[in-house]
Amino acid sequence: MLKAENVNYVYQAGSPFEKQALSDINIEIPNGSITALIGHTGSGKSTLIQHFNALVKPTSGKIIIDDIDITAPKTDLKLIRRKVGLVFQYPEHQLFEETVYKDIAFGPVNMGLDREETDKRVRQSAYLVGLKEKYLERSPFELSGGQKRRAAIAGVLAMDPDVLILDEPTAGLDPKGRDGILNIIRTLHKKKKDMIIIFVSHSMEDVAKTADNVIVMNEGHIELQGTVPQVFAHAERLREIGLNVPQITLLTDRLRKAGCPLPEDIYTVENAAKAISSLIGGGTRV
Amino acid sequence: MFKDIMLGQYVPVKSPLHAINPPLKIVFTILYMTTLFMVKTYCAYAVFTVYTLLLMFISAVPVRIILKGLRPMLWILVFTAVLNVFMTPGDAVWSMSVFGFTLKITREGLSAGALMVVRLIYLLIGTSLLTLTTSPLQLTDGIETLLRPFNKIRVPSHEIAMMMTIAIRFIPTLAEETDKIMKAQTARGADFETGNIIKRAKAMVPLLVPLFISAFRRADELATAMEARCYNGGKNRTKMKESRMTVTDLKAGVIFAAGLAVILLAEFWVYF
Repeated sequence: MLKAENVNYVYQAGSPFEKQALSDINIEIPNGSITALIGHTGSGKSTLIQHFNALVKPTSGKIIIDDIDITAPKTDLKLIRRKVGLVFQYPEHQLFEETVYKDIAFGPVNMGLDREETDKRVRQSAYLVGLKEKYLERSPFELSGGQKRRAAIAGVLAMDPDVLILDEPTAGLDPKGRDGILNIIRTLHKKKKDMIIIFVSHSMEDVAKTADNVIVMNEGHIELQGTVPQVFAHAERLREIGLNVPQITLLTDRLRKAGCPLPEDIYTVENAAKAISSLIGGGTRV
Repeated sequence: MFKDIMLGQYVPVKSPLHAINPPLKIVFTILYMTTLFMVKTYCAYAVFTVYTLLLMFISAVPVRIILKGLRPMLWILVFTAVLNVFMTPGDAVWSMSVFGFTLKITREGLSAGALMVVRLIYLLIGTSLLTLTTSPLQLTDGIETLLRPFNKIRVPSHEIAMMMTIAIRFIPTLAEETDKIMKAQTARGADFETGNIIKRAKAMVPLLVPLFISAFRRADELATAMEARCYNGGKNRTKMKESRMTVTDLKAGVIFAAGLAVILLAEFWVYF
């Protein structure tokens, strides 16, 4: 369970650049769920996720992970960073080792694990992100963009976190690369039953396809939160704050207005296809 | 944390010193320094002090900021003073023997030490006044103008200035990048803050390698972008904002030169 209680964060307090980056954030995220964090640029998403592993400390309020208050003055930061894995935007920019293997091992080695355990973790996380064994001995700089990102994500997974946070994990990838990364998220969700996964995204399609819950941020506060259908039901409000609902929902809305009796809660292409094909009573090639 | 660093030390206020043509200002800073090293008598130092105080006053830069620039040099100042006070031979005013060595303070030493420290302080103030009243871009522009005559002996003045401009432009970008990479590696358990020197130096590798790679990548992208807009160096290139010498600049130059002349007069009047 990850909880944020009345979290406030003031950026550069006391200077002329003072800015309330987060105001009164209250969140409860249950174990074993995928949560999407959406909001336009500058809405405070990145600041919020950096609070979750104590890279940034709130000006006021508490963040509690599994009954540990990580905002308390004397918390063990190493323990928190082990519990909460944070994959930054463009994580492939942080690769630095001679081989992919060594790079993935960086986290476990910092944690002080022995060689055997490190090796196990490296291979396991490489497998989880779909990185073939043969790549482990290559230089990370020889890999393709999508593979580099997988390697970087594996580096965080190797620390075996209870909470995995990904900041725009699909940014800058081609459609195949995007699907690959989203598949990793879904695989992790299936294999690690208790893991809390949080990802930041600008793609409503990715959110609808992957997440259980959605948190919508706007200007430093939480605008909406709930399950995917609950949040996307507020299409009007989402558009007002510079977001949207998935493209396919826009299409089914239009169809409905034109007289097609489609249900209102269609957020993925698959569901739309099913609804439409059942409507026309035709084939079920979906 | 790196986001807060200041770019240069330029203080954007309005003053006659800010308004002077940058190349002229650079030339006069050099002349100011040359004069400073020619001055040796108390009398000339006194005039120099008045001159420097006047410049500080005209610059409209808060004295606090100018003095802040001296702080990093404090140890060098102290070191210079101590060295001069103890090492100059002459009339001893105080002496003591330690482990067979005779430590003595001489009259000449006290005088030399004081003058040397004052000289260093003025040197710092003089150069700070240049960077405090001239924006980095104006500075590089000024340097380009001053180097232009050397084009004849194949000094690439425009390219040098462009390199400086780009370097300055990328300081905040790289600072931000450093901050980001540091956070990312910290999230993977890297520790930049504890341990001895060797351990800390080793801890810099996960920071420096990605930083260098990113710098090269940016350089590559920038070069492509510049070429895409037909940049091909300084040849036949004109400027949108030409810095020209105005009558005011001329007047300022004359006043400045007159001030330096008075100082030199105070130094050498005994010979006349």
